[in-house]
Parts: sequence; C-alpha cells; structure tokens
Amino acid sequence: MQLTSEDLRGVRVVRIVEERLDARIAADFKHQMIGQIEAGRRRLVLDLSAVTFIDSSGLGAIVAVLKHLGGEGALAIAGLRQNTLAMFRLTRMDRVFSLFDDPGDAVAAIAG
Amino acid sequence: MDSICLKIDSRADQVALVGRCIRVLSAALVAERAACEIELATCEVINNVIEHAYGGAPGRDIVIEWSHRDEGLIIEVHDWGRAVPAERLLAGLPDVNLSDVPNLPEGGFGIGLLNALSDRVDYRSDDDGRNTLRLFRRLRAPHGDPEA
Repeated sequence: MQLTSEDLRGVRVVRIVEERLDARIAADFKHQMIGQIEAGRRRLVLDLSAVTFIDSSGLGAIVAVLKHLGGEGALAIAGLRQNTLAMFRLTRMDRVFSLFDDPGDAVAAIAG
Repeated sequence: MDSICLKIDSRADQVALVGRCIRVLSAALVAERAACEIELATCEVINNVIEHAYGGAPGRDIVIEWSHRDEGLIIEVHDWGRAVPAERLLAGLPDVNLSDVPNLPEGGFGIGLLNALSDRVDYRSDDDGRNTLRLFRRLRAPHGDPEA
C-alpha cells in the first residue's frame, strides 16, 4: 500500500496513492497511520482525492486512526469524491470528521 | 434474462476484480451512483464470506452471479463455508454517537451497508453445503427516482 506524506504548517498531510481503501489494505493503512501518530504527528490531514472506493474495512480503519489520537490532535479528511462522500454520509461519519474539498483548506483549519 | 457468473479465490486482493465487473455491468442499467452502491454492497458480501464463512482462509471458491430481469438486478454470492446465522443479516448500521469518539464503531458496518443499499436481501443454506446470499436492487421506472 502506498502513502505519501508532506508537512505543511506543522500538519502532516497523508495522501493515499491507491484507488481503493478496502479490506485488502485497511490493516496496513491503519498501521502506517498509527505509526505517524506514535512518531508525534498529531495534526493530520488525510487526502483521499485519489481514492474512488472505500468499503467498511477502510472506513473502520479511518475511525481507528481518529480514536488513536485520543482527543489530542486532529484528523481532517480532504478530497472526498461523490462515491466516497456518500459512504461517509450513509454511515453518518460525515458528522464525526471535518471534511474539506481541498487539502490546503484542511491544513488551514487544523494548523496550530 | 441476462446473466454472468464470476469465480474468485477467497482472498481480499481478489474482491476488487469482482467489484469492478459488477459496477460496469450494472452501470449499463442504472445510474453511475447506483452502480457504485451495488459494487459496494457486493464487495461487503464477499468480504463477509472471506472473513466469516471461510475464516480468512485462502484457496476456497466464491462464485458471484449477476443477472437482471425487467424489475431489477440480482446478485447472488455463493460460498461453501460456515453458514451465517440468519439474525446477523438483519443488522442495520451501527449507532454513531458523535459526542463519544472513544466508543465510535470501527466495524459492524458491512451488513448494515448491504441492507441500506439493497431493496431486498435473502440468504439460504442448501443441503449440499452451499450458502447463497441474494441481493436484489430494483430498477426504477423511467420517470421515477433519478438517483436509481
């Protein structure tokens, strides 16, 4: 599974370079994201603009990452497409996460 | 009635192959958004088979039949593993308490999504050990719901 990362204004922006965040890669994704948190990156933007499909395993992994922050830090989601946004809405996760079209807007919202 | 049959090994890296096929086949009959929903529902069923019916073991068959009739699309997913208790298939989506992040659900969405995205779900276990989950998605009338 491929992630790319960059730091902008103290925020770690993680981009998933995969079309599908699904059961095939969900555990690996969760492990890598938690690794970033453990390394001290507690303000995170997850850029999902390359992702066209999220299943329940992928969604569960994103929730697990949020929970791992333990309320100390922030996780914002950027770049949801019509189908992936529909998944968040259907499961009501659109009300749990801060969602942004543009990663830069997400960085601005959670930068310290 | 048109129909097609697909067979994959019980591995997570095979699910996307079926998902893409189901989406493209369905998109010829329903709107793109609905085709994506049908893909998601089908993938959730297959993931459930891999995890629960086969306990995560590779090397087992999963057969997917896609068909359509005048009234709707039918997708049947067959496995030869452990049968699912019927009550498990009635689950809705888990509650999400927005003010209680530590207890947000990380799982349990699959069956709820299947039910939310299907007009009807049936399940049967045959005497020969084959289990079949049947998903039905209605084709809307031409002047009906544009989201169909």
